[in-house]
Amino acid sequence: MNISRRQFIKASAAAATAAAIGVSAPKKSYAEGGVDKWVKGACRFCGTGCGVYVGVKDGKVVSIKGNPKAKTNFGFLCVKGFLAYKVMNHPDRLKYPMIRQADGKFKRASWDEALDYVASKFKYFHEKYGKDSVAYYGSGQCLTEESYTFNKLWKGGFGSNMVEGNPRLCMASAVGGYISTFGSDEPVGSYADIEQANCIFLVGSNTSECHPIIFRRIMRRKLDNPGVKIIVCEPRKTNTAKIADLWLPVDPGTDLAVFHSMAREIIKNNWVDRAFIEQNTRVTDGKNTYSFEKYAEFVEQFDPESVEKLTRCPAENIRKAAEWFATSGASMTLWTMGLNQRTRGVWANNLIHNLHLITGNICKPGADSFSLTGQPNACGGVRETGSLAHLLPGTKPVTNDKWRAHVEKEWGIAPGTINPKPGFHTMKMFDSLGGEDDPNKPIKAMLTSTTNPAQSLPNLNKYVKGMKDAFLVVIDIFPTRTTQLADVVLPAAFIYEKGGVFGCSERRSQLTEKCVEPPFEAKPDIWIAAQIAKRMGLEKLIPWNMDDSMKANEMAWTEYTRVTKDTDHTLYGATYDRLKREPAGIQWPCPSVDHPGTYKRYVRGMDPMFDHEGFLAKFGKQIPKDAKVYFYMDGKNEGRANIWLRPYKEAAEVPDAQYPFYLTTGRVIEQWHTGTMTMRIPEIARAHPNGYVEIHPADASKYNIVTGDMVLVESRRGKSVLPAVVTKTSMPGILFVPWHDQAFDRMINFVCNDAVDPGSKEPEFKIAAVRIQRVSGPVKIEDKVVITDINSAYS
Amino acid sequence: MLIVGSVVNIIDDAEEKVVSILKKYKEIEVYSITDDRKRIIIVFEVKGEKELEKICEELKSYDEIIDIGHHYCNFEEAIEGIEKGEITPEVFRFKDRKKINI
Repeated sequence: MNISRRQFIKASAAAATAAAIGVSAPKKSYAEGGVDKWVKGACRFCGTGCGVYVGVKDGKVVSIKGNPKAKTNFGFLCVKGFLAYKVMNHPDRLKYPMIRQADGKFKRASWDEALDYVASKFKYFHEKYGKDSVAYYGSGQCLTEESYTFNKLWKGGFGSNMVEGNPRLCMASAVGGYISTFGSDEPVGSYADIEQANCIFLVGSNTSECHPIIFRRIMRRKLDNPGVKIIVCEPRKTNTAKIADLWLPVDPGTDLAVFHSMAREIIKNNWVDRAFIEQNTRVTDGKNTYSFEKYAEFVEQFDPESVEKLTRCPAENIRKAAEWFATSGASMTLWTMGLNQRTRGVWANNLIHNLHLITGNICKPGADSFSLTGQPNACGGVRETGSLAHLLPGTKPVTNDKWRAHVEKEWGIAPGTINPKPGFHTMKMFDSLGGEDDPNKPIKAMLTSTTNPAQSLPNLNKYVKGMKDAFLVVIDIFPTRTTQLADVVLPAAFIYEKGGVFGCSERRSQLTEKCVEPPFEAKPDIWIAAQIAKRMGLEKLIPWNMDDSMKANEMAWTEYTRVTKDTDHTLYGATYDRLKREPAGIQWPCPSVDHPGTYKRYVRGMDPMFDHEGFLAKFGKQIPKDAKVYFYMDGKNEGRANIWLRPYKEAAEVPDAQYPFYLTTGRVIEQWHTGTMTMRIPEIARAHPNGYVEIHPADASKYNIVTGDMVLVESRRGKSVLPAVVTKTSMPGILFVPWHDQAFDRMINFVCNDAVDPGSKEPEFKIAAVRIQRVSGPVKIEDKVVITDINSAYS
Repeated sequence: MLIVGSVVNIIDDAEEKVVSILKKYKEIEVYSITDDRKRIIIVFEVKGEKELEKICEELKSYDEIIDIGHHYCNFEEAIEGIEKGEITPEVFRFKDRKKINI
């Protein structure tokens, strides 16, 4: 770049930044930044849903800036979003379709060859083993249009509900919690509640590292209003705790007792909102309904001193947290995987909702019970389109006869096509996957898109053989651990190379328009799905098989919003044209093109469903005219939310004499999930290039471990050897390992527990019992491991 | 090289001190200050994200600096480097890893 160009770009950066905060730029022309065009879109990474503008020059993405009008990030971006461009331009990008040959090596194929081969194999398995022998495993990173299309192809085309997605591994317990408490999935409120909250309760979320932009909003709220209280409940004292007024340290999986104890203190001190409880809630154990006094009796057993013994959380901290939460006037809870990835994740979610219901901290500004998502489109793509084994579009169950009939009619398929029986949840799906020679494995083929199960599943040793033996088709942008087990690899386009909709944590759908062409022969997933459909005689079902990805996306989106038009999740008013125009996307429910979108649900005057005739008629709802708050998806049609009596239950596996440590896993700010993309970004890879195990100094000294030593971490299922980081970040007895490392010896998911929540079927990634052993002093380890050779072995 | 447009949020009556701090960095150009004297618009020119983060951490250690928010990033030079095969990850040494002790 020559000097004048450099100076021009710098001036542009300053002008754009000034404009973003409402300061007029000295020279308006600079704000254009020397690019041919700025394309509005959303960030590709976490579930925050940051609005971006992508700068395109000479057919290449050369800049990115935050969208100042975005209601999610107000123009600011974090490290991951900034550097996503390197993913697009990386030399490791998958370039051509490839088919594994008899000698075990991949050979380049044409798209026609690859797609014909996939379609013929799927047909063969359908005929020989039945419609459920071919499964789809998608992702919260797929676009809404892509998830909808694959879901329609499988459920409406093949007549199979063997459709799952990786949100089962992260968000399923949040879904279960929302549905069992409020009757409908996804949050009541929005991020906007952060700026109105007087108490912010962060549970099982290292917000500062995993949702930096949300953390920034929380931080700003605290800085501008020092009286705002921040409470953090986490086994680890992470960066997030830096701004906390109170830390509730807990042993992994024991926080249910802390939440019950907070409820006990709230009731004991009469900090409850009696009127809200009487008008809007019921107490239940799932079988019977009880009085609120029964709930008070139930939580009485959780006195803070007893809970301290159980959890290691100081009794005084519990009392203080209860007081702040209940008396702030507006309390908001935010959580992520720490609450969800548990065998009692649904219960943990319910107990957080309980705190909000008994104090009336819901359905008013600044008060909300809010699940943050880890992926950009877990909500919009997988949850809302019903791309899971038990759901249909609109997050309605496949077991619902009326809804099945409705979807069949909308899809123009014969009545009875959609199977009323749910398919297998993710862990069962992978447990059922195997070769033709194994009669105990009914699923013989699988197509995965934008996900890396050969690294991300817990207790991996149990599932690798199935993936290897089955016919596995992988759609991705890079070689991964999963492509190492694949039979066919199909190169995908990146979001900025194809466009489409992401729906973030706050029910907000945002459209990214196509910015540039995909490299080499990479193709949009929606095109791949439509081409498979075409080859399997289902062209009428999936007619959007044209090369123009934005046209295909629009057709899929338009149909999807029509199918879900009268649901509580309606986006019927969010037409493609409107999404292109709207600077900040649209929050559902949005029933008509003149509706602005919904900031808060279940509140008359804010939520359009109170007066949406189509919805009320279709679902047989009658909302009393005088009801200000009404949980209209209540299964009992009483408009009430459930306060749950949930007994205390510990994790599936707790430390014992043989395995004396808790292991918990998570993310670090610079890396994202399995590192498929972020590990290829040099600046990011340098920051945390390999996995490590955090050990408390007290434990380290017992085992003679110092930082840098190689340590064996072993559970009943598997082991990893990692360098140690001795730190006071975690409590004694708790180890932490990030899960982005692709080096075989350091893939911590071999160690993790695959026990699942009986309700949500989400695995207990967060908690395992392990033992450790010092293996050696520091050794030079292979770092920044990524799979670059498509023909490399899974080892 | 990355060219990054950012906003430095500062405490009241600290603008002179903060500007003098910022001017010590050759990687930073100070562009303007908002009318309320609470935000300073700057531009970084850095080799990569690691350097950017390092400088930001140093800056945030000053009591007068509340926060630094990034808005704009131009990376066309980095893309040229990738396309030419000139950009390769540096060798990482484990002991370089930052440890968080709160």
